[in-house]
Amino acid sequence: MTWGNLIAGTVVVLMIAAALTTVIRRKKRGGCVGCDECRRDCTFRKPEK
Amino acid sequence: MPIKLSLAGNPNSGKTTMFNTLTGSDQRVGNWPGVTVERKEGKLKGNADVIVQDLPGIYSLSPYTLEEVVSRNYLITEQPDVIINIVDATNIERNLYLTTQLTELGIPVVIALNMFDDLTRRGDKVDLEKLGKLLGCTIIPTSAVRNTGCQEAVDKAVSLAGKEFPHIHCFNGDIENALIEIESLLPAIPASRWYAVKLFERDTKAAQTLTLSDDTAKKIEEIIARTVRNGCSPEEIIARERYDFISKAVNASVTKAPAALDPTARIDSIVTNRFLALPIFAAVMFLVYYVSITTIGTMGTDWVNDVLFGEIIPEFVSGLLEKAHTASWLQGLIVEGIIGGVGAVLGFLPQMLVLFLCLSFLEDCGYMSRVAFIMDRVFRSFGLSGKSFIPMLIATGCSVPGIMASRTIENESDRRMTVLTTGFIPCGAKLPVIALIAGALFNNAAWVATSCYLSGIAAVVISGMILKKTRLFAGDPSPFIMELPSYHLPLWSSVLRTTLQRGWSFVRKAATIILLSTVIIWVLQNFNWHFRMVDANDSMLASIGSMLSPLFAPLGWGNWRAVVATLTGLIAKENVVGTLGVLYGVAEAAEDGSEYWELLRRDYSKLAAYSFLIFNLLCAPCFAAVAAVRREMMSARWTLFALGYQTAFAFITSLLIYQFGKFFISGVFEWQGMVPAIILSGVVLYLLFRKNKFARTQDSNAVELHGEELK
Repeated sequence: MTWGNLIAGTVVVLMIAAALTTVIRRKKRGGCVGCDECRRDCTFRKPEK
Repeated sequence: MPIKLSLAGNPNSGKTTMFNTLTGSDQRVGNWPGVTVERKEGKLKGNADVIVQDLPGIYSLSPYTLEEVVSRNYLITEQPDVIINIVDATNIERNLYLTTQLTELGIPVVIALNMFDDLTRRGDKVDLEKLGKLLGCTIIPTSAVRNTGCQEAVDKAVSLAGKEFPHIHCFNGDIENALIEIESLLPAIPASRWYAVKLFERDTKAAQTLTLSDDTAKKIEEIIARTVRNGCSPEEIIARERYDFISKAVNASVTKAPAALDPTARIDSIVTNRFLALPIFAAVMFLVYYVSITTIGTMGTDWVNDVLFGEIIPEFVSGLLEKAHTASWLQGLIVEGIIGGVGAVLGFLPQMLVLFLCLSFLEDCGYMSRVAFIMDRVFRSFGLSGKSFIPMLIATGCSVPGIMASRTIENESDRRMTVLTTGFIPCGAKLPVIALIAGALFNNAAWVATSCYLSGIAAVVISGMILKKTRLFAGDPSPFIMELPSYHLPLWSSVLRTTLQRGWSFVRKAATIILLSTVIIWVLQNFNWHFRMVDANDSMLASIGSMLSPLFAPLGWGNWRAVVATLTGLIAKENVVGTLGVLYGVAEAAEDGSEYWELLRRDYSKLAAYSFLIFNLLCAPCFAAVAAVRREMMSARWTLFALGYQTAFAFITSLLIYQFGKFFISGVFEWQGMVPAIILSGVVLYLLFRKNKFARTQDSNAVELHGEELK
């Protein structure tokens, strides 16, 4: 396996994992996977710093 | 213990705008009633111990619709520590009706006299101290949009939180005595004064929550019977008393400027004119789509599609991958799959931003509220209510909040009908599909997008006409009462924020669900059932698409690629574009010099492409919207019915467009397609214009009921 394959493959896997995690997390928090105009999963989304 | 601060007020009085100001949140706001249908909460900026709650707008504590129940239940049963009552300063009298009820709850109330700047601009004056004394609350002038007075109102509210709050307003002699007597019969409960009034009004919901003994109930009934005379209902008496009190309080503290010629009335005399309203609406929508799809938006989209995702990114990434000696299949996945698919969707972002900017401007300036009013006249003649148009207005952004907004409709069959038809309105996610077809096949003609929007409305009207004649949806449309906000120049910051929020949602969706879908599509398109890399025409995707394609052949696009794109559109509608991007190899096409749009033009005629577009606009919505339908219908059967109806409607419409279109263009009568089209159009015409049996039944029922009442 070349370094190119390893790096490119890792980047793709990470991208897929990130996308999948976001979708699953949003579903779990009660939000839909569509637009979030309704902000159903965004209560307390901007707490005081 | 954190302090619970609730924002309560009439619809469209600026509660969510104030909520966003106080919490730093960016909840959806809109210049029409019914935007908020669920309770939302956030922490107060600068004081994390204060939880601010935004409640759906209510006119009184006697709820009629689902979202009004949310507000009443919360205020009565959960008892916040303090209430900020947002009162629209430009319409004090009507707004104070709720105030008189809130002050009976025993919870401290601070009045935020919102839109105070509009009131002073009009030349009206309010003696805040005097009005406050009469109502028994502190009044703070505010402008939530300009963030003036909000902090002062919160500071005052926080200082009062949890303290005792005696009511000031007393009813006239006999009624007040009756209320005191009823209150003395009740156990020691919070909001006992409010309960006493509600029991006097014979409010069954309030009585049920108290579970009174038979003896107490009998005594209360005796008190009511003794007090109420002249055949008036107790509810009527209380309402009249409240309005008398409000009228006196307002007369004593508000000085109105001499009536000038209101610019809003002058504009309305034209844009809501019986004959001009609809042509003006059609012209406005044409202009919106012309600007976003044909002119300004297209310049950006052309660059992103042709240069950024057509040359710069694919060439750069391909070069990098080749230098690193990456395997060809991995290069294919990254360049053709991910960059091609996601890029095909993101390419339409500039057009979407321009469209969202135009729509946000129309919403904020107050024109879209007029459209609901205009559409009420149209919808009513077809058995629907203008109330159904508000969710559709929201659905132009996304169907999910649009479907949720159907909760403002009290009539159950109208509500179901609205949930079922809201998906017909082109949402933001469908815009890339419209833009792709308009761009590739119709040279970016603005009429394509305008016709899609108007087709959505036509689908709602036709569905209304058909379904209202069935047992499931029979009944008179809900009454539609809507206060039209004054026209005003929107704050650019607010318009830009809404636009960017919608744009950002689109980008995020492209980076998540669209990216995942394009990877799956690429794998399915490049491998056969034995997981060997093959040509696209021998792939798993081709075999799935080819299996289903004969079904869509009568619609003019029995091509497996179009069928697969339609199927993936069920995950998210942008996927239609992403999938076509992968299947037609956007990046590859750019490399060998032939354009992606050229490939589409080779595979589809204009008529077939338009039929494909209409089918994708009207058929079953994306999974997120299906989940919203399921949640709002609260029934799997109704959800299935909704999806089946939408898909059947889309199929028939596309079939008629393609078959009749082909006949009129070529003049050739192809019986295989034309015969079913003629039969189906006959069926549709029959369903549209058949006699409404249920309307007659209802009329006779109404007469019978009336007769019974008379007896």
